[in-house]
Parts: sequence; C-alpha cells; structure tokens
Amino acid sequence: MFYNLRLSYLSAVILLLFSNLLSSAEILEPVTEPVKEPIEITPEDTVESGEAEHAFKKANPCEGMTAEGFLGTEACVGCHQDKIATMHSSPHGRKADPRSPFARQGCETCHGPGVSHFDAKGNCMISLTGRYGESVKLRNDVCLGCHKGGPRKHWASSIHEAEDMVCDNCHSIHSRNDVIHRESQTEVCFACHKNIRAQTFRASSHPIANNRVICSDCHNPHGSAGPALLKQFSINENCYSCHAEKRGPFLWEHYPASEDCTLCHRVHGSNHQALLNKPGPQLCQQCHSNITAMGGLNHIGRFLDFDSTTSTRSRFIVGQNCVNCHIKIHGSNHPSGAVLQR
Amino acid sequence: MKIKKSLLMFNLLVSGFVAGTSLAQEERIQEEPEPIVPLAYISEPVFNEIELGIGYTFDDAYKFGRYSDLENKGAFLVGNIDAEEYFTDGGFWVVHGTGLGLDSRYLNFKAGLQGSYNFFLQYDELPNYKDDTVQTPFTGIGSDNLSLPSGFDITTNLNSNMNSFQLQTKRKRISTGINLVLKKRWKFAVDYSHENKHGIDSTGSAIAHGVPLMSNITSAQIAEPIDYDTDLVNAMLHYGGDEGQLDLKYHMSLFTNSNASVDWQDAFNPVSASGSISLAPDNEFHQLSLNAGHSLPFSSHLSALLSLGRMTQNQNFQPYTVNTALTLTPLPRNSLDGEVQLTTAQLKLTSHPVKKLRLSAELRYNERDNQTPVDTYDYVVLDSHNGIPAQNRPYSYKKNRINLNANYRFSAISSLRFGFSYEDMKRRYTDAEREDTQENTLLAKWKLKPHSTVDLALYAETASRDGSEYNTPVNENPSMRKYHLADRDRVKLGALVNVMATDKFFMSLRADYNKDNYINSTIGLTEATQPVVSADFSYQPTTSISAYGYYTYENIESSQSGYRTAAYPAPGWNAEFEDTFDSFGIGAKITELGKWDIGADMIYSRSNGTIRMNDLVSPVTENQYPDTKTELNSVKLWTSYNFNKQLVYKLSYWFEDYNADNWAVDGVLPYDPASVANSLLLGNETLDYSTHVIIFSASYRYH
Repeated sequence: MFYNLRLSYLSAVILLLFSNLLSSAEILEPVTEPVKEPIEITPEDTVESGEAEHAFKKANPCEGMTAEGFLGTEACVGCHQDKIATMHSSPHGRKADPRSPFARQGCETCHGPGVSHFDAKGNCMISLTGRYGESVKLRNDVCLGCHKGGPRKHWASSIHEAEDMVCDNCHSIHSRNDVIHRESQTEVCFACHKNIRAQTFRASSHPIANNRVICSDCHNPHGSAGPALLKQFSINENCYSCHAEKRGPFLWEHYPASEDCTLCHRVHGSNHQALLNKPGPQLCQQCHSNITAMGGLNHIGRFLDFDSTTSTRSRFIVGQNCVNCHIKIHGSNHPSGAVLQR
Repeated sequence: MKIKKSLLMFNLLVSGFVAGTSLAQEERIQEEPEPIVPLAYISEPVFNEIELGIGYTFDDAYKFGRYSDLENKGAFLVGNIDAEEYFTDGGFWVVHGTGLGLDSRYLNFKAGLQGSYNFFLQYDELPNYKDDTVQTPFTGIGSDNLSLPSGFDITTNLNSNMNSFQLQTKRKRISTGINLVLKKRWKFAVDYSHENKHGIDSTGSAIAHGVPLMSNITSAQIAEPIDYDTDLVNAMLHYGGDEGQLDLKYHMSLFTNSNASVDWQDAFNPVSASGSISLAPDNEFHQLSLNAGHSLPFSSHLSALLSLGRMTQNQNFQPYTVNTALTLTPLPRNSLDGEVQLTTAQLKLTSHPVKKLRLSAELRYNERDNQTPVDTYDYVVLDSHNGIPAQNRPYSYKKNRINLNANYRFSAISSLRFGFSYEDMKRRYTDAEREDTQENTLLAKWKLKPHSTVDLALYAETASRDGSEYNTPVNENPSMRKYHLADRDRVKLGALVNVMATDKFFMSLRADYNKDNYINSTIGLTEATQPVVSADFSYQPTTSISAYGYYTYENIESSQSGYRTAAYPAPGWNAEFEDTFDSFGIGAKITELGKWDIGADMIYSRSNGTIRMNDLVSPVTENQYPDTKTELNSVKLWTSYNFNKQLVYKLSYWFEDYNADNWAVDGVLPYDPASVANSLLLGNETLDYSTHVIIFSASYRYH
C-alpha cells in the first residue's frame, strides 16, 4: 500500500516535471548552442607542480582571457598538425554536431583563446594534461562544461574525484577511441587497481582477463549512487543484472545471499570454486554451528579435519561439500525447501 | 515540418542505416556552412581494420578455453573488425567485432547522426566451459528427468554405466537501442536485450530414508538443465543543462526458466526412491528512478535521487514431494506471490567554498521491503518423511548511511582528506539474530608531491561496528556471531609512491594492509587480515620501443572457531586459513623495425592455500588438509609485417601452462564407500593443461 502510494507520488512528480518537455519535444531539429564564454583563469587555478613547469604560474598571462582572443583552428595547425589530424576520428572533431568543440571555437573551445598563447610565447593555453600547472578542478571543468550530466552526474564527491583524478588520466581526448574500447579498458583501470588484475588470474574468475566482462559492465568510474561505484544501487542488484536466476524472491531465503553476494563471493577472482571466499565447509561454518542433534543438525558444527578414514564425514568436505545436500544456497522456491535442500 | 521530420526519423530507423544516412546527408549538407576546420585537416585518414586468419590449438585444454572457446585441439577461424566511417554532415557508422570465428564472438554495429540520434545492434556469445571430466550413470542429461539404466546397482555395475559429459553453458545475447537528442538539451535513450543461457550445470541432490536422518541420507551430484531467457529494457530521459541536470530511468528485467524442476532416481535405491528439486523460478524486476542535480552558489552542487524497484515471483509451487506414500496436507497456496520492494534515496551536497577546500555530504537510504505473504508449510524432509511445519520468514532491511568528506589543499604540493561515515542497518525477519548494527568509519589520506616527478600518499582508515543484542537461534551455539552481524573493529592502512624517474621511465609501489577483528566472537570468524603489495614499471625509451612489468603479492589470512560437544560452550576447534598469491607480468613491444613490429608478454601467477585445523579437545590428532596450489605460466609472442600501407600480416604464438592441486577433487572417485559414504559424485579432476596456440592472420587496413 505504502509502496503504491510512493509510486503514485513519484509518477505525479515525474509527469509534472516532464509535461512541458513532452508537449514540445521534437527531434532532428538542429540544436542551437550558445557560444561558450572562455574559461576564466585565476592564479588559484594553477598549482606549482614542479620547477620546470612554473612559467605559467609566474607569468599567469592567461588571467582575463576574453572571447575577443579567439584565433581559429587554422592558427593552431601550423604547430599542432598531429593533434588536429586525429580530431577527425574523434567525436569532438565533428563540426556537424553543434555540441562538439569543433562546431564552436575549435581547439580554443577547450584550450582557451589563443591570442595570449602567441603573446606569451607558448605558455598561455589550457593544457588538459596540466603541463602548465593547471589545477585538477580547472582541467575537469573544461570537460564537465559539456559532460556534466548522464553517466557523470555523480562525479562530484565520487572516489575518483576525491583522488584528484583528471579526465585525461583515462581518456585520450583527441583520439578515435576516446570512449575506451572493450579490449583496452581493463588495462586502463589496472594501471591503478593493480591487485584486481592479479585476482583475474585465479582459478575461479569472471572472464575479465578475456575482456568478456570488463570493468564498466559493473562499475561506473565517473561515480554512482551505489557502493564501490557500481552502476546499480546495491551489490545484489548489480549481480542480478547477469544472474537473474538468483533474484527470487524465494519462499525460503538464505539471508546473507539476499543481502550481499560479496559476503560469500570474492567477485574479481578466488582460488576456491564459484568465486567463494573460502572452501565450502569452512565458509558455511563461519556462520553455522548448530549444537543440537535433532535431525542431525549438529553436523554443521563438526570438527572437519582431513580425516579420510571416516567416510561418513567426507561428504561434508568433497564434491560440493555442504551444497551436496543444501543445494539451493541462494534460496529455494520449493514448499519443502525450508533448509534449502529442494 | 516537425511531424514530417519525426516521420523521417522513424523511417530512417526502420528502413535501415544506409538509406537513413544518405537521406540525412542530403538534407544536412545543404544546411551546413563550411566547417571552421579546413577539410585538409579533418580529412586526415581514419584507420579501419579487418582481420581474417586461422589459428590452431595444439592440445585439448578445457579450462584454457573456458571463456574463449579454444578448449579443443584443432583449427579455428580468426575474425576481427574495427571499422567506421564519418560524413561531413555528422552521419556515421561504426562496426566493432572480435572473436567472430569463435563461440565467444562479439559484434556491435552503431550508426546515426552525431548530435541528433544513433542506434546500435549488438550480438555476442559467451561460453562457460566448466568441466569435461565429469561422469554420471544418469540418462536424460540436459532434461528435467534423470533416470538410471535398468538393473543399475551402484555397488556392482556403476563403472559400466558411467557416461562422460560436459558441464558447460553458453550465453547468446542480442541487443538493440536508440539514443535521441531532443530539443533543449534533452536526450532520450532506450535499449532492449534478449539473452538465452543454455547448457548443463551440476547440482547436488539428496534423499532421506527415514530417521535418524544423518545416517540415512544418500546424495548424488546430478546434471542441472540450464535454459534461461532474460529480457532487459532500459529507458532514460535526460536533461543536461549548465545549472541543472535531470535523469528519469526505467529498468525492466524479465527472467524465465524453461525448466521448473529436476526429478531423479536415487542411485542407491533406484527402484524404491526418487526425488525432485525446484529450479530457479521465473521472476520480474521493474525499477523507476529519478535523479536531479542543480548548481548552487560557492561552487556547490546538490543532487537528489529516488528509486523505486519491485521484484516479483509467482511461479506455481512444486508438490511437497514426489513420494506418493506420504500423507500430505494441502499447500497453503499454489504459488508464492512473492514481492520485494526496493527503495533507494540519496541526497548529496558538494561544495568548494574556497579554492583549497572541497566538501561533500551525502545521505543515503536503501530499503528492501519483503512483502511476501507468510504461511505455514508442512514440508517433507528430502522426499522421505514429514518434518516440523515451518513458516517462511521474508527478509527485509533498512540501511541509512551518512558520508562526510573534506579535502583541503594546504599548499601546491600537499593535501589532506578526511572522511567520516556512519551506517545503520536494521534487519527484519522472524527470529533475527541481531536486528540493528551501526558502524562508524573514520579515514584520512595525505597526499604529497615533493617534486614534479613524485607522488606520495598515505592512507588510514578505522571502523567500529556494534549493534543491538545478539540473540542466537535455539539450535545455534550461543557463542556464534555471524561475521556480517558481529561486533567488528576494522583497520586499513595504505601507502603509495609514484615516480616518473624520467619522461621515459615510470615506476609505482603500493602497499595496503587490512585487518578485521571480530572482537566479541568466540565461535565463527574471529579475525581476518589481508596485506597486498604491488609494484610496476613502464619504460618507453623511444616512440617505437616500450616495456612494462608488474608484481603483486597478496596474502589472505583468517581465523575461525567452531563447536564441538566435548568442549561446549567453549570452542572445540579452531582453524587458520592462509591464501597467498604472487602474480608477475612483463612485456615489451618494438615497432618500426623496418616493416616489422614485434612484441612479447609473459604472466606468471601462483597461489598456495593452507588450512591449519586445531582440535582443541584432542590436540595433535588432527589430519591436516593438503595445500591447494595453482600455477599459471603464460607467454605470448607476436610479430607483424607491414607488407604495405593496406596489408599487414600477423603471426602470434601463445603458450599457457596451468597446474592445480585441490584436495576436494584430486583422487576423489565418483563412488568409493571407503572414503565417501552414501554419495555419488561426478568424479571430476583438476583441469590442468599445457597448450600451444599459433595464429596467422592478415589485416586489411583502409582509410
């Protein structure tokens, strides 16, 4: 009842918000974008990042860049032919898209008006690699000026923002593969997440090393409303997107499985079967240690060393161990599945 | 005019890309003025590549080909494509495909008019070859009814009735979607995918033969048929303004399983006993979410999210049992009518009140509200006898979290980040062990850049979790504390050094240490530590020569204790677990050696897992588990010959060797009453392999 009330309320809010849009929505009309004001640079936007790169900081001739200072992309070509050549294969280089930099001021849309660049003999220009000491915020603001929403709406306060990551750390702004290819994406992420690469070599792993499951299949590196930059709002929602058979809801639940898959699974790789944190019987014994003999319940509390001479104990260890009998470990929908055996 | 253009749009989409692009081209070429960038620059060639070839795998290696389809000795086709074309009016198409000659193929086609619309079609397959060493006497593998041959007797004729089969599944997925750029910075996107997962997996099965229960259960590993279909729809309406952003999303997931149950005969009593288990039920998930953000003064940004989801499941129940000799009460209902409502809400404020200070505050709420009806089920134990009637206990929780972060830049070379988070989780189900847990976390990270070529970082985090009174269930050891509910102190420490020694040489060293201490647990998990050390380098002396290397060490240790009658209520045993991993990789590439490019990549990864069982009742009588071990060696060598600008010949060699020791599998026969009583296993073995692969291909490149 409460759920339906909330759903109705949300629907009403949404209809109100979008009523204006829906009534005027049209497609294929060329979008008219206003000419962007050049990014204003102040001394605080620069960071002393080393003696070799202090020229910008000292001179700071870019302060007060104005729109009158645009020279046009032709002026850039003389020295930067290599950069401009690749722009054709980048979405940023498409003049026909009114949102793209080359439909506006060309190179100067992102790098700032070029007139001071000439006046200052090469120092005054916004470098997205930070070569002139541009601050992280300034460099990211250049990109976020156009790419603020959508998958980047949670960038602010995301862990990558907190770590002072810059768009340029992962993206090659001028190149064709600005949106990182499936075949190369994991290596981009492994540059920092080195332990995750090692985990993909383990006996049980998702096909990450084969590039058939890649980081962005589960994570949004630009920030998310879920834990660990997951694209969904919870760990289990994320796992269910590929493993919908585990979703239920089931008649008989195994509560940790309903709450958080990672309580039992090490998702990037494990040496135990099915990505488990530990071998079967001991993993279960971390939570189960029944003491009564009724119905044989106390078998779960047993001391299970590797005693191969006692055959009645071994089936708790080999094969699928506890899951030899408690097969519906993620939940059972069988009326006789109260202890997850059916 | 608007209507005409909408109709044109629809026509473009349904009539195919080629016609669509040409129509759009005609219209827009007339409208567009000369581009700012001279054509001489933007017509710089775009690089396209189509690769065709043949490869040969020299050995059968099931695990090697688990996800790649290279599991069998023999030849295979190589097919890759990476091509695109852009037009001056913004029209484009892109094709990207890999592994086209294998059952792990991926093919994506995308086309559209940049800034107006695009659509995609995608097809991909993903095999999962799990095991080809399994055997079973059951017939009907892949069906929902497993039977035994006439006259089958596990004690006399098992071996003659064993048949090999393969545990493998394959996913096939087709996806399509469209993105539209609407007026006034609005976008709309919708995509749909259908996936079929088909194959055979393994599952356990058990049948009881009266009481006392534990000594009268027979079990068997059996083949589970997999035939899943999943349909996904995502739709999003997006507004992206300079000051405000808005996303409205709808997500739908429909899961159907062609098999509702599996029936099997008891391998130990094939004439008199059989059982039936349920398989994953059909289910649905619908979710609607609204996310809005707006800029505020002082470089601040406020965002809010509300998401409502609904998981439902209402598949008809199986009967209590297939045992017709039992007297049963009627089922309380014919299907579950299960429903779980998911709610997520988030409010987040970020601010840069002054240039050197970055602040963020976040409130997050997650709720899983299980509305599934509660009934009493007079269930049957393992298709044998009536058990004690039990009620289902739908599980719900509410989680509130607060995150506060501050990042202050002291100077051009130093910054400090502080963070605090508080999480409160309330779990609701009948006889919950612990209803409430709270955790406080404090973290600090100091970053220093003493020189333009050096980054240093130190990280520390401490967390403490406790909660309401812990109530152990009636049958549970009163000292047991489940580790996700138990009181816990957590410490994380980390250090990082990045050095750009020269503009050609980069190296990095990172060390992390995590420790969880379950301070009030005497039974269950009591402690866990995890140190990780990584080092890597990259070296590029010239634009045509590059090399890299990395090493990662990880050690996962934990301690747990368990119950034993003689020691009750004190722990009767404890165990120490240690998994150690070493992974090492190195590679190099040299290009422009005349017409040749060459490269090599090598990986070495090994692990060792130990379990040390300590019997606290009868010390020194323990039989310790053998270590589990894995060792992976992989070498890839490749060269390419640039015959001319269009044609490149490629030759690559791949050697991989994998060895594993696993006590749960090694030497365990399908049926051996002297070592494993009353159980029929699949007799699988560790999937060691050593294989060589050679691939020869030709790439046609064009502009």
